[in-house]
Amino acid sequence: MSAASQRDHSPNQPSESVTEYATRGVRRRTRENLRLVAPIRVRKASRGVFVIVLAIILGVGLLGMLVINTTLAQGAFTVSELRSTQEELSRTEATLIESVAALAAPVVLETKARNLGMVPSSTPAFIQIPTGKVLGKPKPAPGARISAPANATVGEAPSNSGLPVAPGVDYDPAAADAQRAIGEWSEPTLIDPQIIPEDLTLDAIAVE
Amino acid sequence: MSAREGGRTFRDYGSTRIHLGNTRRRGTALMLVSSLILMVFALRLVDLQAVQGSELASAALDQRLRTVELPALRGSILDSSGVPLAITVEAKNVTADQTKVTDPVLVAQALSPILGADADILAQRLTGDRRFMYLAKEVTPETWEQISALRLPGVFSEDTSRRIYPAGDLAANVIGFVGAQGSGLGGYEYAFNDELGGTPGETTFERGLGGRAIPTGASVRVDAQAGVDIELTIDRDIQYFAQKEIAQAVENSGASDGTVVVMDPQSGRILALATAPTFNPNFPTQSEQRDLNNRPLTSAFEPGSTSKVMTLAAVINEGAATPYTPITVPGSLRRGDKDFHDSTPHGTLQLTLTGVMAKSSNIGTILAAERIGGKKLSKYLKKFGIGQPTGLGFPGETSGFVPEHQDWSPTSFPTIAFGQGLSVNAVQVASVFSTIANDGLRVEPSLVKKIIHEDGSVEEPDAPMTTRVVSRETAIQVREMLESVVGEGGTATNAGIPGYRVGGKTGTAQIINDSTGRYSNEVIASFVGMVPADNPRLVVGVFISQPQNGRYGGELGAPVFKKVSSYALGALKIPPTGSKAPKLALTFGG
Repeated sequence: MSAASQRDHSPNQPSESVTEYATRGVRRRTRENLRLVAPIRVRKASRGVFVIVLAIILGVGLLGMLVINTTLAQGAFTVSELRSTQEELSRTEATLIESVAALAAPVVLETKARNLGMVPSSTPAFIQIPTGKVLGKPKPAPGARISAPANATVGEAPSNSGLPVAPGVDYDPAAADAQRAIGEWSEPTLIDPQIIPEDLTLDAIAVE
Repeated sequence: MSAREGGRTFRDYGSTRIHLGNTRRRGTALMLVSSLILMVFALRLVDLQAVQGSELASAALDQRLRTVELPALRGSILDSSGVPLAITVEAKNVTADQTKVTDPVLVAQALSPILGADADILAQRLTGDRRFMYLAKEVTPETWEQISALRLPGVFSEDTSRRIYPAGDLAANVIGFVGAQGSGLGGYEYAFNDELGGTPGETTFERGLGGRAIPTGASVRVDAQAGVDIELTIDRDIQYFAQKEIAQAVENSGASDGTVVVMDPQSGRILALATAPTFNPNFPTQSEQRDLNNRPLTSAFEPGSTSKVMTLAAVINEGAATPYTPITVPGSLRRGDKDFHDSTPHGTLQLTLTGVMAKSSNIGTILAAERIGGKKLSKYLKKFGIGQPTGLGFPGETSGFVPEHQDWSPTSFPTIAFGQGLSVNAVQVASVFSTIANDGLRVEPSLVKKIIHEDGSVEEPDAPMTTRVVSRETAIQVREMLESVVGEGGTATNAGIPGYRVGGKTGTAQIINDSTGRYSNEVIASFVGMVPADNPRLVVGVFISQPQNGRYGGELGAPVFKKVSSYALGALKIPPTGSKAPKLALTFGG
């Protein structure tokens, strides 16, 4: 509080601003055509806008960080999930390879064949296709003969025996292949389902 | 009213004067103290960052860095069609942290049925202060999943691998086996251990608290290089059949052991190398030590009459005789200080050279051999591969032995001529017959067909070494003589396969008693044959040691040859040639 303002008690002066009062002397001493410039009004930026801008920047920054962190976390989660799936699949593959190798062992094949009633042949002999000439001296394999039903005609297996029809004289290999391609293959049966995990289906595995 | 006197501020409230602090001095003092403290900090920072900076950083890095070895996957051993006979699979070791196990007895009871182990022993292993203890090694991942589902405290797992042999004892003598460390201890698992083992890699990473890798930290990774896969020439079906038949023959004849060799004479590839008794590489400790060997390669024996093929081939090749040459064979022959006899006593026989082969006459062979002399015979024996390494690189294989010609005594020549006094292994004998089967050109035997690298590239071994031993004409004539062994009047009529031309030679070789150094009454009964005789695609050798029921090669060896060859002919789709065997005369004169 300046002392000067307290001393202004002259009743004759009209109300004047502090600045006019303070510059009275200067104004008297200088030329009349100088007049007082209106005081410069400092245009202050409104505080509200400033706060809003700051808030927006902060918000955007925080939001960005949130998004990045979320994406990273999501990615890490996906990676770990995929990795555990991959480990599981590798383990399944290894188990399957092991099973196939074990099932392919000749001793297993012989046991299965014998269980089906098959016997090994004792004499090597060949049929030359297409002449039908027999090479070598074949002998019937040892073991019980499976008799054919009475109504079978020569050259044909009975239709209900489940065996593929024996080809006759006009057997055409190309036609037979074409017929099969349409979808006559039956699904191979799993020989010993206990060895292969039960929850795997054949079409779930890509066979190389 | 306040007043200033000498820098100190006073305020008068009536008559009391209160001393107030000098704000300026206080400010200065505060500033000084805080600057001092900050300076200490700054100095310390400079010290840590600049002076000790790099040293501390590298010490910290060392503390964080951890190098882990990445094990290499061991290569597989495959049969000739690529089916694995030895593979490495994932396994788990079950471990325990004893400090974390709350109730050892309960945990042991839970684990006992899954692991198939005694609950008391498991309880013992779970009690104590150790932070790491093995409960079970090399269990399947499925077994571990069952255990981990129980969520037992203190029970953990460790990744490891296990070597399995899915075909059991098939070709076990060739494949060998591995020890607890996973490295080969016998057979090709041992001989090719480096190639199968690959090169382990390593990964170095920065480890944070809890042992996890710091994602943005330094990390260096050198991938492991998996071992190569080795594809053998062994055909698993023929091998299986041969193993079965020789095991049966050894059992039926009460023999100490037996061996079958199946070879492709044109390529030198061994299609089957079977021996009995043998072992299961999944459980090598369950077999006797001597059964863990590859007997066809590691066991040396005197070949006996099968060796006559070399002697008579040499005689024909030198032009000293033909299959029709007449040889008068007395009942006994004296050379040096010994009297030599044939296996069945006889008077003087008028045999052709073919008859000498068909009837396996020792004396006839000696007389024929004397037409070329010992020095030439010795040269032929070497060319046939006797006393030389087989070239298979098998651990423990024997090269056999034949004394140098200059060391021969007066009785060495006749003895060696009919196959005693020299030692061979079974593959060498089969190789001799393969040479005759291959028109006189010896092809070095091989067991490895190809080597497959991790990236799929295939490496084939160099073409086998070939040696011209006898001419093609000689080989053809020797084969015709061998057919007469299987024909009427020969020693191996039960080696015949209907529809096919078969040639071969029997052997009933006496075994030396190691303690007395003299020939004992025990023998090795053998038969080595080839089929089809006019264009042989298969050579099969059967050797049965110390039989108690039966004795002769024609009696014991020939039937096994017939069974194994019949199977192999069908498996390899070898049709008969359709030609008829010549009927060579065995005797001459009236």
